[in-house]
Amino acid sequence: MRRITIPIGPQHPLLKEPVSFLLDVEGEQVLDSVLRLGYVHRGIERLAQERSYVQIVHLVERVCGICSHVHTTTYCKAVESLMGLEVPERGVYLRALLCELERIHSHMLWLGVLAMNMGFDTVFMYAWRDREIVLDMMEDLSGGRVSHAVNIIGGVRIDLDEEQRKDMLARLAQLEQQVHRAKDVVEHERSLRARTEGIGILTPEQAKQYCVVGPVARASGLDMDLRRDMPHLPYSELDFEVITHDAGDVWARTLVRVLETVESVRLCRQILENLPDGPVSVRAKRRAPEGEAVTRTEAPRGEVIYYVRGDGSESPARLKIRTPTLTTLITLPEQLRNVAVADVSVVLSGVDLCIACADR
Amino acid sequence: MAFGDVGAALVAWFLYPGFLFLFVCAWAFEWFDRSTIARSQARVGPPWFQPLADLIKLFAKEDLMPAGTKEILAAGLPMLSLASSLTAVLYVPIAGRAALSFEGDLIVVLFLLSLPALCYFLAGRVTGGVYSLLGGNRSLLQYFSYEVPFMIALSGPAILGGSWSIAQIAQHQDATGWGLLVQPLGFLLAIVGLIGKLKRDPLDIPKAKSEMVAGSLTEYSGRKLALWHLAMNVQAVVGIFLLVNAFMGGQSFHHPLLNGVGFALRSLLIVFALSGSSVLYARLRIDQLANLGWRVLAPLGLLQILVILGIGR
Amino acid sequence: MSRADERQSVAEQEKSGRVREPQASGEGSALRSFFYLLPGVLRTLRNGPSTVSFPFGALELPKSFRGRVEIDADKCRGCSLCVRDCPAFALELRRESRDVFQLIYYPDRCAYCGQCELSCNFGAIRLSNSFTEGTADPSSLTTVLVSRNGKEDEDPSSS
Repeated sequence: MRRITIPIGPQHPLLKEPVSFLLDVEGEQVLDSVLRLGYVHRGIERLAQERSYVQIVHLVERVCGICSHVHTTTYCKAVESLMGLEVPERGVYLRALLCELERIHSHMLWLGVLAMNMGFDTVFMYAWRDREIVLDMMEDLSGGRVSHAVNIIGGVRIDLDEEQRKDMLARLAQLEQQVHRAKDVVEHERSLRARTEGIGILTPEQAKQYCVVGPVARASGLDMDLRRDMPHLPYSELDFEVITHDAGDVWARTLVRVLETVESVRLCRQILENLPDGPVSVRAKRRAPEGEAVTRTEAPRGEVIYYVRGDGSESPARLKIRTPTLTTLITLPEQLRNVAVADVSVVLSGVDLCIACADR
Repeated sequence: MAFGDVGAALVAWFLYPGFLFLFVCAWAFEWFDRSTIARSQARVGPPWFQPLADLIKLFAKEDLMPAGTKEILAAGLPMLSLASSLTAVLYVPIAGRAALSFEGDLIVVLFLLSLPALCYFLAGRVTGGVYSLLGGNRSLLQYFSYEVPFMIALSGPAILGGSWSIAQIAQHQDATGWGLLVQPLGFLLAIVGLIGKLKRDPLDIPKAKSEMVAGSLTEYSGRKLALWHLAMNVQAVVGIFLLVNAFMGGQSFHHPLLNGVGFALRSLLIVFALSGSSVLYARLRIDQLANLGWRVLAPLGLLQILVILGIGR
Repeated sequence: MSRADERQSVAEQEKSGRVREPQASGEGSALRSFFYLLPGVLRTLRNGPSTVSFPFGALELPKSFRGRVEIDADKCRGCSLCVRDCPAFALELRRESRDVFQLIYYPDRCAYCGQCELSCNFGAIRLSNSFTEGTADPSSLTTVLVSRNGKEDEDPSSS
């Protein structure tokens, strides 16, 4: 059989964002692949050096659409650590509420995209219809469905009154029912499992070698979750499980993400029921002292690392972002080896790519 | 040939049951299908004139082909697909009356309905490009997996009806009742075969949007693509009419209008079966389909034939 | 395994944090798994489409919605805090003296983040609920939010 090169991307119906995979294919087997990044590189770290700390909050929100809140949270935490500020408890809880809502949003979006790339349009439509409940909740909280602009240096800019809190709890109950239905479908529907099982396997040794983080690592048996491993408010006071699986294939990742969604709904309920009183932010100065700060947070796709170096002015000397998608992207040539061409779309979707995060 | 004969022939070709009738049925089929799928997915679905609007839009679009494509072949293949489906309908009774009929026309119709699959494969070869080639290869693989069970399934009504003419098969069910009651397995296999033939979800492997972009038709646009869509929809309609006659044949009433309504309702049943299977299942992988076709469907088809021969004439 | 037993074993496994393999749900599961989505589909058909036929249907916006920038021109002092903090450089202050200045807003650059509203100490600038505007000429969207000429009774600016 002849060897041909199939280009997946930069424009392809499978991809939400431009990235290029050149697949070396013989018959129906993928022999090798070449990954090319950089199509969405916007130079955010460089732009950050010319803007003030206040402006960078909004700049950093636009690194990624789906994990926008996590990026601003991590950045604000880094700058607060640099400035020596402590965010009041209510602000921390509200930040975490939005983080968990964003996790639910991201996983439901991903489930829909996985189903669509498998030709299962119905699950795609249902998952995205239920995602609307989360988006409506986030819109009521922050004014935007996807870009929330909730974080400021020193805390958050929103607050919940009692009526809003009860309304959120009611919607959360509705969301919980839908998430459980989605979990049932993922666990029991045969065609979904048949298409995802045994494909795109990443062994625990390979996962460690490539420094994989997030649900992909947890699906390969690595037990790592920053919410539990790095005790910080409010997670140190809340009760949740870290979901792991041994198989390391796309089916394992699907299960891990769906069950994480269930856990996130539980976390949201706990946060809403135990919201402490008090202010939501402290006033921050415009200048940060000289020094460095590194913070990490658990984004929907894994660990996000921010490094900020201040030089006493209103603008940071250096901002460095390490996003989780970068670690999973480099495992893809390994995963795509000896996979059938028909399964390429499943493998690529299973990894939950967020190229905008990776390219910054 | 008298003038009246020529007039009747022209009416049969262009109006009923010819081009105009079939095109209207094809557009209605596409609208029903898309609306059912949309409503099942919590969406609204297109307005009734959408398929016609798509056709008009495509006719107005630019028709661009990669360099090195033989235009005559690229244009001729959709025309051949359309022509074969349009010819096949001459032998399929609509509401009890077939335009032409002879012993063995079932075989001719099956052959004519499988020509579009061959044309689809050739279209991939002719237009070139990685996605087209792969899509075309897969369509041929898929053809071998569904065509054999489909033919076996359709032999059942022929054996029961004691004839290889579709009109006779349908008429025979006047006396015995709907064929699908006696051979439900055959009916199921015929539906699966039809899904494969029409390359619909869950068997739309050759044109899987997330893998092959659009399969053989990736490079097509403009009028040629419009012809392809029309050809595929007309093939769907003729396939549905064939299944109605083979498994739900017979005329319940003697009034032609009521017969027409009954025929339309039975066709709609099959359309809902096709749309329902699109909604409920994920796309199969090509090797899963090959497994399914040869290890499950074909043996089941043979089993059905044995059962029919057993309970017999 | 009955449904109750299954739920209990699942709960036990969940406590350990490790994901469990989904159990087969008893007899009839083979047939049920073929039509697993059917109850969901029937429910969807009964509930109707989840669409709003905007612009023919009403669209409800929450009060926290971040739409186009509006100003309460009387309160504006021309301190330019909003201009300094805007991440998209969508606001410009042209100042000639303490009482003669113009605040100009470029909606085509605006990111609707709300930072200007946060930065303003006088509560003059805020984000409204309006979002339906579109034009083929972006420069026609530029508005002068505040125009002070140093007179006591100046016109409140148009938006």
